[in-house]
Amino acid sequence: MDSLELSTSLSVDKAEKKNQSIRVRLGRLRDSVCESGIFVLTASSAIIIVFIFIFILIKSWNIFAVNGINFVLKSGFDQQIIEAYHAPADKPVWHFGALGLLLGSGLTTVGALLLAIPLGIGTAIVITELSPRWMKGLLQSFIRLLASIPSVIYGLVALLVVVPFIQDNFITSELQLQYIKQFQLTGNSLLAGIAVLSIMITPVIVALSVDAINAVPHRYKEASLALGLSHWRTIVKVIVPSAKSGITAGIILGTGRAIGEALALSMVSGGIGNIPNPADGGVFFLTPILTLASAIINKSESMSVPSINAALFACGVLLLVTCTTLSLFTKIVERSIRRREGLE
Amino acid sequence: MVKKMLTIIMIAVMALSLITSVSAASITVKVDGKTIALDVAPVIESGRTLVPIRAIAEALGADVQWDDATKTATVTTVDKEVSVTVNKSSASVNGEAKTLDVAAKIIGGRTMLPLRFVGEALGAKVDYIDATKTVTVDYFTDMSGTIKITGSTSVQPIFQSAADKLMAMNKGLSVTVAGGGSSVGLKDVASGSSNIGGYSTELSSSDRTTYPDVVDTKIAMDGIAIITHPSNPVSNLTKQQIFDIYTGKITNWKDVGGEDAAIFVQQREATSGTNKAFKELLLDSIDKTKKATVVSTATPHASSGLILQAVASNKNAIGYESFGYLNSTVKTPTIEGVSATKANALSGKFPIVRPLNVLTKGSPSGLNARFINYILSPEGQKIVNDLGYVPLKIKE
Amino acid sequence: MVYSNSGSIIISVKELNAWYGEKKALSNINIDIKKNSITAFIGPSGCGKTTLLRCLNRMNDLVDGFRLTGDILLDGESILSKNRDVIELRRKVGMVFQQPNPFPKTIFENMALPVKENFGNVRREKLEEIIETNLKAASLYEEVEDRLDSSALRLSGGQQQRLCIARALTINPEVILFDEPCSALDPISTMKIEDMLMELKQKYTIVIVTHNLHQASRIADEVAMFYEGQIVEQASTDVFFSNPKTQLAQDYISSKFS
Repeated sequence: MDSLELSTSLSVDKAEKKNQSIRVRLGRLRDSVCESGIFVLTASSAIIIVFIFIFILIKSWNIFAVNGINFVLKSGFDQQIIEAYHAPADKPVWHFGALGLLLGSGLTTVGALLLAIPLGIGTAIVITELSPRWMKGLLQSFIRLLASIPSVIYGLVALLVVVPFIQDNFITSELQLQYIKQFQLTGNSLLAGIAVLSIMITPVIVALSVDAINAVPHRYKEASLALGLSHWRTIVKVIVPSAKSGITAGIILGTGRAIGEALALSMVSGGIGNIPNPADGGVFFLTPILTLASAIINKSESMSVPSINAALFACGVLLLVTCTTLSLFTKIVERSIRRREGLE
Repeated sequence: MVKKMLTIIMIAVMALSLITSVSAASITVKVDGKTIALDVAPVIESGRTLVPIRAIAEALGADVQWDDATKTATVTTVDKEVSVTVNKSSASVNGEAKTLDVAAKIIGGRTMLPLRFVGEALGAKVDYIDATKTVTVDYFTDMSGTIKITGSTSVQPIFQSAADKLMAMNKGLSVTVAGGGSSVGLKDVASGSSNIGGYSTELSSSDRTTYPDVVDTKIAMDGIAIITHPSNPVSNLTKQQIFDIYTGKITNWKDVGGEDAAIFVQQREATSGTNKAFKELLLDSIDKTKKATVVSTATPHASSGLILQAVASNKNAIGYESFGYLNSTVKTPTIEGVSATKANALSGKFPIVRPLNVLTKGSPSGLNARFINYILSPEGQKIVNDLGYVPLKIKE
Repeated sequence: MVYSNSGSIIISVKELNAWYGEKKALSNINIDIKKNSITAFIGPSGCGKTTLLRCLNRMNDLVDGFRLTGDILLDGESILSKNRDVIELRRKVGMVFQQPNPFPKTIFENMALPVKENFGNVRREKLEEIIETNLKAASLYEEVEDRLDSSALRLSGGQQQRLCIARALTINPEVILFDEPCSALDPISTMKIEDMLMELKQKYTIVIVTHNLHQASRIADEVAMFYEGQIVEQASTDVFFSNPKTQLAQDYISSKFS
């Protein structure tokens, strides 16, 4: 290599280096712009959420000021709404008790979870471990479809299928007469609510569980099989426990959907905030109920009355508090699981 | 010869003048594209067409009054009042004096009014097409802009059909119709978020005090029928029985002549105009203290459609429903022996009848008025009738 | 026992051919594994040594499109026959994998799971005894005895691999298969495991796949060299390294040792 060549190649090198450093700097600039952009978006959505909280709290403040803790300890929401609606403007009704609604939300959600968790995890196991490859895809797209069906469709189907089924199979006219002074046994009930909710949240649990199970490293499965565990015991003892945090996330997401579901439940659960009585035996499940979210929908047309407006916002506060608690709870559960597994 | 010539000319002139009156007989009048059948032929006077006004005015949703003492015809729509007196060149539009270039006349015992003046005073576009000898009056085909309607779900179907028909005739017109219940309609109109509100009962005096600038216009009548499942053997209920059922005193069908089964009372949510009308027209007519309330076990429904569906699918249910929503999926027992028909509602024999009103902020005007006039026109009232409600102006 | 020609032979592979889909992975494999010895499978990557190893406890059953012909005998009985209980086979033929694969559970649970699953409800004291014995056999006990209830994933790579070996021992296998057990480990961990393997062969038969010829020469009694799906040479370790018969083996040894 003669000197001329050397110097050209050096200067080319230098130019290249300069170019490169410019590229690097440009790249860094782009990164920092992206990062700060994302930060601004995140911050603003956090601020929006905080504002929503504050807004709803302000809107409902009077209810909590007047009723205090009794808002969640007393019942009779439906009649109170009617009274408030017909109350003269100078004597507004401010006393509300949402215990019935709170129990309605709680019972439908817990009931739906009891059905949906085994069903959801079972289905996820069938999809990931027990079905041939061609069926996997089919089942998974079917589950995704189910998860994306709007709740009003579930509500309609439940209204036309589940409610008449309950009426025909669990309710006799003697039973109806026996309870008519307390509530109407028509099939629109806690049970119908639980049924439609469990069908609605199962796909959510399935979808997240499938992802979680698929994410379990193949080496765990091999280790287990090589230790003489059958496929089924491997699923029960190794795969599902290893997918615990993802499955839990699915369950909690499903719980969120169940608590927040308004439309389908307002169609099938009866629309009156009765408190089911365990002493009634099976009739416990046949009691018409009303949930927080459904109450907001059903009674929203009465919102022109300020006290009803505030009462419905107070129901919203209860919903928000439950959801926030749930999502914090998820974080805690997930973290403790990961810590126990040694992933953190 | 000259005399002969003069005679010919005179005959010719007379013939010509005859021809002018004869040619007037072939003039057609079209309102919104539809030819109006006139019992007396229009006449042209000094270039102005005089017509028997009634049929044309009614097609525009107007009422025509004739005061024989003052020989004055008054044409009224929800936004205009036009008075024309025979043989006088002065007229009034909404109380304001106007001058006519051709006065109204009585020809052959019929009052003939200047079409262009009356039409334009009502707000229509009037044109004369010489080639076809046609007078066109465009009123409901000459609408543009937007109207937002909310309120009673009982009145909603009327609004919806009227809006569909009008939007088909007018490219620039956009009408949105939503429900929400009567009180939502009242609130929306008062706040200005809707142009027109549906209100399915009488405005109470307290509402009139709270919303002094809201004006109600009656567009139809509606009966509220009691509905049961088609298989329910009960064929008549007294008002007292209905009262007892709805207040929870009677809970078994056998107490009103039916089977031994529980009665499932269905009602509407508190905001419903039908709910309000039912309470005022039935419950309050039995309990004059107006303290009676519907039993707390009654299932509330958010719309007319839902309560109908609930009763149609439960053989022991009872509900109430506006005439406009009735169909064969439910049974309507007679009340005090009177069956739920339009004729009985109009004659006042049927006990639960209410007016269907439209609400506007201030007297209706402009586009809103035209929309209301359409519902009051024969075409609009036909919609009312077809939907099962009771039209105000029944054409036999 | 048609094929059994010596009491000391525990596994006998006969005329084995294997395919992944259309691709042939093993051709005409014949090999005998002697009891209480260490047999090393060596050869370049992709030569079929791991495939054969995974045939010995039928782990390849999990692979879509895998099929084979020929036979493998364990104690004179075919392990490929249709009515052979795979689970029972895997209890007899344990396996330790290339990547340490403890479960995301505590050390104790890792050890207890196979015991409980294979022997039913074992008394707590008995269970603890089994765990202690096998952790000691894998020379891990001293390092973990005071943290049996912490996650196995917090152990170092070498400790994790020794835990996996200890775990494999809990079910009393006759044969333990090692699939490059030290490839992910540092030299000190590797040495510990090699020492352990020398101990373990007193009780167990060991088959190990390794690409490390030094390792093979240090620990193996028998060596089988694979090339393109065939066994090109098999011999006792001394003979193989001092006097390789085939050119391929000579080249491989010299290139790897140089």
